[in-house]
Order: sequence, then C-alpha cells, then structure tokens
Amino acid sequence: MFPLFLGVTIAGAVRSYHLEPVSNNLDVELMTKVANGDGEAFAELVKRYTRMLYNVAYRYNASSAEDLVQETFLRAFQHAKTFSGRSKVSSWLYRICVNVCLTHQSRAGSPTTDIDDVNEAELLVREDERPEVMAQRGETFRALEDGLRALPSQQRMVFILRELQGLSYGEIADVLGMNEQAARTNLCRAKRRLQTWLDPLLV
Amino acid sequence: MECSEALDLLYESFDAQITPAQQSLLNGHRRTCFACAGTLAKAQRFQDLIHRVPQLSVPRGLESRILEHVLQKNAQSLTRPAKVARPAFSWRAALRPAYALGGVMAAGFAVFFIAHSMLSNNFHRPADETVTASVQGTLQATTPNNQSREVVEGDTPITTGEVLRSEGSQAIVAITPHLALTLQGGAEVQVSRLHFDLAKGTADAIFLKLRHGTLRVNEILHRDASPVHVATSQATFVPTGTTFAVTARFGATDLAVTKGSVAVHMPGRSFSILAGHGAHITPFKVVRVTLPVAHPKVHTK
Repeated sequence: MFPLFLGVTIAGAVRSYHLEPVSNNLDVELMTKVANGDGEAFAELVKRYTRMLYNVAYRYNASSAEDLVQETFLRAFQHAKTFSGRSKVSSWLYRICVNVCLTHQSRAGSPTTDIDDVNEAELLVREDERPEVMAQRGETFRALEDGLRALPSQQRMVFILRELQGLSYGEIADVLGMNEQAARTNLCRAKRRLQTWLDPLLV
Repeated sequence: MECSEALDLLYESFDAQITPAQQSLLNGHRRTCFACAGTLAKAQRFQDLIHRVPQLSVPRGLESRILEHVLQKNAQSLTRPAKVARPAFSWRAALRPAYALGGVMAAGFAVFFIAHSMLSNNFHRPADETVTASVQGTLQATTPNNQSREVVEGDTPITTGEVLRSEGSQAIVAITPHLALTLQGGAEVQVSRLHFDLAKGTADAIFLKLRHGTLRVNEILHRDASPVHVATSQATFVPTGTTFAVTARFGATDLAVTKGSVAVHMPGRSFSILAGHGAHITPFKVVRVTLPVAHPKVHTK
C-alpha cells in the first residue's frame, strides 16, 4: 500500500502524482461492498483516499480540512449506491469533496469582525495580511496558501487539482463539471493572480 | 505577440501544453521583449515554488475519527462495523512524558545559568533611570537634548528619554537579562521611562514608546514585579511571559502574539490577546485576528 502514496516528480515534465491510488477493478469491487454497507470495505476506502482528500481540503480551507474530509466520506458512504463505475473512484471522491468545500465556503461568514462582536472562540483571520509581512517570517508556502484562499472558488479548485494534485484537464473538467478549455483558462487566471500576490517573494 | 499572451503561453509550456510553433513564438518573444523579461522570470520562479509545495500527511487519528463519525451517523446501515485501528504499544510513546519533563528541566537550568551569568557580568545599573544594554546590530541612540551616537555591537548606557533607531536590517537590544527587544530596520523606540529598584537590583518598570516600525518583544523570563509596557499612539501593551511583535504606522498599530498573552490598554477599554492571535488597531476600530496556524507535519519523501 505504501508505495501507492509516494509522490513522484519528473523534472521538466508534467507531474504524475502523488496521492491518488491507482483505481482499478479492486476499487469498483470495494465500492460495491461499501454500497452494501460493508464496514470493512469502507475502512479500506478511507485508508486509501484520506490523504488525497485531506490535501485538497487543507489547501482549500486549512482550518476546516478535517471536517471537510469527514463530511466527504460521510456523503460517499451515504451515496455509494450511486457510483456507476463509469469514472474512477478517485474522481468520484474528488467531485464529492469539491461540492463539500464549495458548500462550506458559501456558508462561511465575513472574514473580519469587530472585536466587540466576537468571543475568543470565534476569532477570524484577517485577509489583508500581505506577503511582504509573511516573507519576513520566512513563510513562503504559507503566503502561497493564503494567496490561494484569496482566489475565487473555481480558480482555487482548478489550481489545487491541477498543480497540487496533478489531475489532467480532462479529469478536472469531469470533477468540476466544466469543459477543458474553461479549466485551462481558470488555471491561467489563478496563476496570474497568485504570481502577482507573491511578487515580493519571487526575487 | 502581446506580453500577456507570452505569460499565458509560458504557463502552458510548464504543462507541456503548447505546440512547437507556439514554443518558437514564445522563445522569440523572450529574446526580444525586455518589458516582460522580469515577469516571465518570476513566472519560472513561481512554477519552481509550486513544485516544492510539500504534500501533507494525514493528521494522527483522522482515519479513525472519520470511521467513528460515519458509524455514528449510519449505525443501522453498516452491517459489519468497521474496526478502528488502535495504535500499537510503543516504548517511544510511553516515554514521551519523561522526555518532555527532562526537556523542561534542562531548559529551566539553561535559563537560570544564562540569566545568572548575564546578571553578574553584563548588566549594570549604576544609577536610577540608566541601564547598560547589550546591543547586536547597529543602533542610533539620541538623547533628549539631541546628542546622537552610533552603537555597533556592544554595551551602551541607555537613559530615560533616549530614542533608539535601528540602522541596519534589525538590531537586538538586551535591555535587561530577561528582556530582548528586536527593532526591525528603521524602527524607532523611545525609552520613555526606566525605573530600577537599586536595593533589589531589579527593574521596577520599563516603558517604551514605539514611534514607528516593528518592534518584537521577547520576555525570556517574565517578572510580574517588573513589567514592560510598550505604547503606540493607539494602545499600550503589557506582556505576561510573552513573545509578541508590534508594528506602529501612521494611524494604525498591529499586534501579533506568538507566546503567552498581552494585555492591551486603550482609552475606555482593556482586553487581552492570547498567543496565536493579534489585533489591528485604528482610532476607529479594533479587529482581532487569528495568526496563521502552524503547518501540520509534512511528508518529505
């Protein structure tokens, strides 16, 4: 099992990834068992795909990543019977995860609040923290993650799936319900914005 | 070819998504257009950065929590409940509290010896309102009667009313054995009051006024009896066993607390900011912020 989760980076070529276990007949068989309420099969599904989904959820919303992954697996279990086997299990799970993330985003509140309006447990992140400040702290990756969270949802998700998870444009189109050209356009826009955001760090 | 088209093509070339003809166009543009050379170079660095983004490992116990969560919600649907894996017994894990205790004791001894040696050698309190501070970096010190002197890497007497300005990228001023101040480049701090109990040899209170720039305060040892007060135009900050940074600029102050807590006093209101949080303070509004959380452990293979 372990080698299936190893990341592989090929210099000068498109990254072939990382966290996505090879989907095969075994996966389809697993899903059939899960659909019949087989707890052992579901535990195996969780074991195989938690890391992949956690990485997507974390990049999308770090503070709620665990909840988002839990909700994804809950929905996957509840709707296992709808899995037709036409797409890969990973794509099907990605699609659920994306929907969970987008739903969560739409429920989220304002990013800043007056100090008198919140208690200690409800403190929220301020969005205007710029990369210059973060660079001083040597937190380049954090600046990238914060820039990522400032992107529109669609662009953010395309960037995560393509650049950080290594999905093909065809898979992204399938997961996000858009055509491949739209995925490419979203990725270019996301990269432009992120590059501008990170400009002070790219020296 | 427009520069913006060149940037898009470059992004697509990273994906191996462009044709040889497009690649040739892009190369031609890169050779001749100086206007976007910097942007394209940064795009390359940006791509390198993306490729270095580490993949995260799953937080400990998450798989078990997922199974428990799904089991709770679907107890009747699951014919055979999934087994939640229990971690195997590990001597390393069992001895972790002992390691932690040892670490705390070692840190305690280290702090004691460092503080003791600093007290006995480097810090003198020859007179009320004057202290000998140890400086790392370059500092411009200006007395109330406008006499300036440059301090480079050494001990210097600091008196009430003096203004310290960091001349380099940063200067560290150990103003007492238990208090280190880091002035980021250009930061200006006025020592508005130093007061020592000469009989006991301890500082009663230290009042600092941050005029502008960023000041990082690190209380190596906290003493309730000798607090440090950092004031800006908007508020006064009193730490309690704390590491925090204050940035003062025109009309606003930013506070970030990384350890302990800081009491914030403003006209008509007082509140505390705990570690991991901060505040953005203007004359009209105070916004509490949560500092970015630490990364989970990453898988580095």
